[in-house]
Amino acid sequence: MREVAIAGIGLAKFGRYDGKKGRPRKLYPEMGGDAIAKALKYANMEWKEIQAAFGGTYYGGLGGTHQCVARVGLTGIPIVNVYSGHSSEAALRLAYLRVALGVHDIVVAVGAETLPGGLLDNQTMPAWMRMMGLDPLPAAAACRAVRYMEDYGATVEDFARVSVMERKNAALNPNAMFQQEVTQEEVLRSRMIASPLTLLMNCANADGAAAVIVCSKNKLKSKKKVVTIASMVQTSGTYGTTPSGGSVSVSTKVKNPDCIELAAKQIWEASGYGPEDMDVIQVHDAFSPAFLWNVEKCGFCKRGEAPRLLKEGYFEKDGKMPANTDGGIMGRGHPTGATGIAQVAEIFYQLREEAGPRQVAGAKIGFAQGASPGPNAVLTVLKR
Amino acid sequence: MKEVAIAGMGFVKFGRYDGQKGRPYKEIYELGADAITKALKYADMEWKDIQVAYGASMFGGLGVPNQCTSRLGMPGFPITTVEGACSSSQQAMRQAYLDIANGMYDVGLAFGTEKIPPGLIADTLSPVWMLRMGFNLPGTYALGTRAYMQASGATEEDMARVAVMERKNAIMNPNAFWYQGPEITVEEVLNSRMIASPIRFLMACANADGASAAIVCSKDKLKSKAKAVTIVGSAHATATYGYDNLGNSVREKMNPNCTELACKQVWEMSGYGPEDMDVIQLYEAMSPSFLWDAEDCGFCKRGEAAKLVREGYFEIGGKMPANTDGGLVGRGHPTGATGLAQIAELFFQLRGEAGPRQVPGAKIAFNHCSGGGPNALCHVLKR
Repeated sequence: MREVAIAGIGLAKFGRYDGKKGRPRKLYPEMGGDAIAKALKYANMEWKEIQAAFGGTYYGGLGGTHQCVARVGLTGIPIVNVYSGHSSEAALRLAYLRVALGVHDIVVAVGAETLPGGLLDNQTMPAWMRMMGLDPLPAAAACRAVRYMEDYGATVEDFARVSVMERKNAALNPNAMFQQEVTQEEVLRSRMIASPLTLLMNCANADGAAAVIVCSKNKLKSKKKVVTIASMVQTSGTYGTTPSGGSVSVSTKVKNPDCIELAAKQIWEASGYGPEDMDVIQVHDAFSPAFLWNVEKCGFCKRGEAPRLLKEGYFEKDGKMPANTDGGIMGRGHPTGATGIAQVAEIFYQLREEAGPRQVAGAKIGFAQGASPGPNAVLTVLKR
Repeated sequence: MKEVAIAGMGFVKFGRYDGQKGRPYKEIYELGADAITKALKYADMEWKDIQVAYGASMFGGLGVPNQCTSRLGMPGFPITTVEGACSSSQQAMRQAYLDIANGMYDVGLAFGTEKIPPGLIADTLSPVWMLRMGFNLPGTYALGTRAYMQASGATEEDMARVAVMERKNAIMNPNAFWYQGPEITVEEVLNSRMIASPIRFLMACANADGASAAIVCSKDKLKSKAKAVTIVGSAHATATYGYDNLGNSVREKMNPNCTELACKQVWEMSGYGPEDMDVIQLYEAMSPSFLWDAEDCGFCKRGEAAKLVREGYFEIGGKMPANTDGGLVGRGHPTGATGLAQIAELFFQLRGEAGPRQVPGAKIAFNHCSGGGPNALCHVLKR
């Protein structure tokens, strides 16, 4: 397989573009088009150089990528809408694979989303499960959170600490939805959504877009600080897991690895790196407790250890393993289709030393974990 | 590139699985899982042989492919949902093909499954203002048809003739919505309810439920090498400047459309031309598009298709048998499952398993599929 580089990334600030309360009104095709244009500019490339497009929106209906691309130009290239994980990391993986395998040389992946408010429809569950109320994602996450508390002694304060850390990072990220810090008390006292998860332990529905241009290394316009994709893997559910990624067995100590553990095992093997080699990481946490079990599943600490490490500042920007330095999903907001690429974007900026006040000094290797209902997991290792 | 073969195909009869009027009830994921099981059986493979899956459903929601595979077992391999409107499942097959041809995997699964609500189907591709003004699917098709009639001199009778031919083929296809008839006449088509002038009810495909699946693999992984069907050409193109999101030209034609573009690529890649084909599939959610597709794909000159249809050129027994399984009009159109159903018919034809629809000695076949976006996919299969 060929070496694949990231030539450029473009982000549209995550937030609300609904035209209400003085906010601008934009729909996802416009934001997606903007993100592609920014990525092209970053890469110093022209649209006609792009040979294929992968991407998607989770809730935008049919042809999401076609609609984004149509705003940049109609050049007849293959455009594929992809969903798996929260769509865009799987799109990025296909873009990466097609370049690595030599099918194309320069490919764009784009994720864009205009999300409705409130609870999101979980289309990975059969209709009867949704009718029985097994659908709401916060409720499923709450069940897993309780299980995690029982198994490992984690507390709601630990969950709140994740939100506090991520909102602190988001305040330094101009592309994040939230620009203000919160305190642990504020998180714990916010409205109860699904016990034990309060409002500020749930991600915010957001609108936004993210685009990335990947290419074979020889197509890069500049060879300075080149960031390459060391490895990318994708997995789906294993026996014993539910569509929302939880476990149907009685314990989170279930022996069968779930899709995230499986993907982690695969990527550490494929990339030749281990968790200890990473300088900066991104973990998927649509609900703050997920941060804790996901760093454990990816191998950054032993099972049950994450709450203690978090408390000790291990995952803070200046800690031993800086995580979600851009605010993560709690701080960045969660425009589902755009989240996967936004995660990779932050690692890219960190490795290029362009993360401003969020910069982790000397970061050379980074990791991003995407996950979503299905369940699906997509993991990425980037290196400079 | 490695040679990629189709090891097996599975199919759930296109029809209605809504539990009404004595019809069976099936969930969308049951249909998908049934098709996958049949494809595995045909290929003589086990579930654990599969290394990667691409699934599609246009209206079922994005998690449907995961729901389908969960019924066979949760394997942990990458399962990716691919959406290309009505071309979705053929896009799924193309991605599996690319993975295998380039050595990423050896055995892959592609499938599509659909349960469609009755009536006009939602076109979320078009902006809301266009839909409110009546530019829905039949409306837009009707405009394209009018433009074609003006340019080519084709008549409403010609379009009716396509529907009649396809329904006649569908009668012989046990997997088709219109299996066992009834046969229809040109008069019946022309007297059927007007949908969007000049398109009438019997020129339109039927909304249907159904599923289709294909196992694709590198040739050396086939369990049986007899009559192996391989993919010798695969191309995917989208709009060029001047075309809208349903593929219609917004003004006088100045660029090749996505079908012409994809055809050019697939003929180049495969080394074959239209004249080499023994049996073909053309995509026609409404019967008139059969005519311009035949021309866009190079099976005749511009404006000639209507005359050739009149002469029986595209019938089973004609010079270039097309849509031998009934096409979309006769087979029914469970959108997400249609792309692979087209491939399935060509696969059965090349394997000599098409029963009364068999085109004797068919060795090379061509498939054209399209979908909103617009997308055009072309494949050349060979025994």
